[in-house]
Amino acid sequence: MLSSSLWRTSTFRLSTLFGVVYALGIALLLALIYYQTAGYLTQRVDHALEREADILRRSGPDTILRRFREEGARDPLNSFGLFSITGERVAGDTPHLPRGLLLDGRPRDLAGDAHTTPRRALAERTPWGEILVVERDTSQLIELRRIIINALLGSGAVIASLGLVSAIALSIRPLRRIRAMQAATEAIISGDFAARLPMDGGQDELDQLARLVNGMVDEVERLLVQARTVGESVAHELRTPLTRLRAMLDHACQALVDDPPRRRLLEQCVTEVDALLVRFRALLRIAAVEARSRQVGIEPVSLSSIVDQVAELYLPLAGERDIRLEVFSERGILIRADGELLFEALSNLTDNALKFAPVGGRVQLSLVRGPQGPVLEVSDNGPGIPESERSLVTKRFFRGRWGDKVSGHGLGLSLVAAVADLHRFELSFHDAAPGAAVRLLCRDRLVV
Amino acid sequence: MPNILTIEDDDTTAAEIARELEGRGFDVRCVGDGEEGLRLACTGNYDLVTLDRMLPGMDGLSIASALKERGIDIPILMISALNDVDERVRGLRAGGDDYLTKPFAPQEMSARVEVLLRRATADARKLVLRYADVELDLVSHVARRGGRDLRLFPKEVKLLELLLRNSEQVLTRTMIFEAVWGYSFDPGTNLIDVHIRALRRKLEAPGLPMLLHTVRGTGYSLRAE
Repeated sequence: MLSSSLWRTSTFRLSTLFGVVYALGIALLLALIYYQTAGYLTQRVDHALEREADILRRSGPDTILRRFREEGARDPLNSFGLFSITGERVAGDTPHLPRGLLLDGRPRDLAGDAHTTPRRALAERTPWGEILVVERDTSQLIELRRIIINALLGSGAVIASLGLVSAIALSIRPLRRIRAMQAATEAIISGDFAARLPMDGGQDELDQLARLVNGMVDEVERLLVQARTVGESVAHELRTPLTRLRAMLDHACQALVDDPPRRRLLEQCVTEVDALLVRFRALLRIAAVEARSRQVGIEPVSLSSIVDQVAELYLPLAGERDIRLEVFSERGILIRADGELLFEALSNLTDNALKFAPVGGRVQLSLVRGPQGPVLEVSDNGPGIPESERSLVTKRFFRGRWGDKVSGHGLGLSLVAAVADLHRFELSFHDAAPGAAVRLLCRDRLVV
Repeated sequence: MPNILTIEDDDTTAAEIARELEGRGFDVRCVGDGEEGLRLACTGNYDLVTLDRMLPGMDGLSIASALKERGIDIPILMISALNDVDERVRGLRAGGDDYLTKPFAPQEMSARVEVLLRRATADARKLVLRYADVELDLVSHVARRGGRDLRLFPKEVKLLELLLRNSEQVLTRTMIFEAVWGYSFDPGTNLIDVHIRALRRKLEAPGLPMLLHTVRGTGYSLRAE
């Protein structure tokens, strides 16, 4: 988990890339040093071998044995051998003619075995027809090479691990800051407009980005407040004079007991004012739900019991209209939600369904566990919602094709949509063939 | 005659409250400042306080909490212009006994005041509620009229209980919805009317005098003619 998120940070990737390039450079440099040193040491050995061979060759068959002794005493690492043309030993320390050695006077490596050390040797034919072998013990040289290789590998490993460690160390801080930013962004998405991306006080690219995003959130918050307060204050300011107007009309009605025609007219005015007040109340209620923070009022509620309560509330109304109210509710479905708002939303849907179902018709409330979460559905066998209107029904004041046939102000489904949005539930409209089915998918809220 | 203390800084609203309550025979004293209001409420000279949520000096929630802390058990009707969904809960938690959102119909306000006053003087330990020839046993949930059992659904029992506890008082539809169903939104349509009609059919069998009256433009009242 950490390793994958670490790999996704650009600091880590850049530092790692830099580390790899650096390590490759160091490896190249060390390899060069190694080959130069090893080549130089070998060259020196070869040079010594060739010089010895030259001295011996020139000394002639009579003095060569003395020379063997002199040169052997001078440099104990060297040894010599003189062999007949058939390969038998004539003189010197070399016990037998080494295999694989060509008589061309060029030095070659001879591997060591149980009795001998690793050597470099050359063989050539002397002017008097015998075979001269000059060898030099190279175990020191090989040891030196091994030390150089070990030093190179060791320092390479240290450099690579230092690179990796510094890449991780450099990435952890940005990674933590990104995590903090993620948390703040999620809070903002869930409706907490007071949250801001954290800043370090520096001027690095993360701070610059955070400053930009915070500025954007400030602006969104300002616009939201503006939009909300405009609508709300219009509704609020109009509601007060309307309430006063209603009270005055009421008084006037009471004063006109003896004048029934005028009284009836005034009563119609009161009814109209009441309808306006209902609309304003609904508008303010939607605004209040929309303005609500997503965290407030959320607690475990039993969906099953909400369905039962709504059914109980609407049963007499259904009865009066001769509509069969059927309830299919799975028991014990507990979700995290605002119970009062869910009740209000489901009441609105049921109220709508009862308005649109024909006399003698049927309205069904159902609650089932779906694969993505509990599904609440309210369906009726009324005229249904035409496909073309399904995306419009949650707009404020939308009345639709059948709007004139039933009472209402076109705000009920806006409220349901606001409640669904507050909970991030999915609200969808379907064909119940015949009739409409409104489905609320309560995703990711199940209390296990 | 009950004395009402109205703590309200908006003169128009204060005048409206005073006019409506005085019209119903109450004595009303209006005060616009929160701290002065709290001082007056503590004097023990008032039977009920209507309390504005937002006030200069000291806000309504603090006054309600202060009254409860000092052990002064006076009914409080919180009146607020704040339309927030949680505002009501906050007001009731702070010690308000009922909550009303501005703007309000004067009748709604006075109906709530009367119910609160009645609740303050009622004997909460009563096990049987009686009015005229109707009685409701709160333990067995059996309701009778003139000795004849009424077969009521649980919600109808609660509705009858509310009406009996507040007999001869006007109850608005919102008050009924809040008290019986426990929700405070606008139930819309004629939902409450339907429930009242259902109860009325059981309560007023043919030949019996009318008991459950509709109060035009306001709500309902249980009253023997």
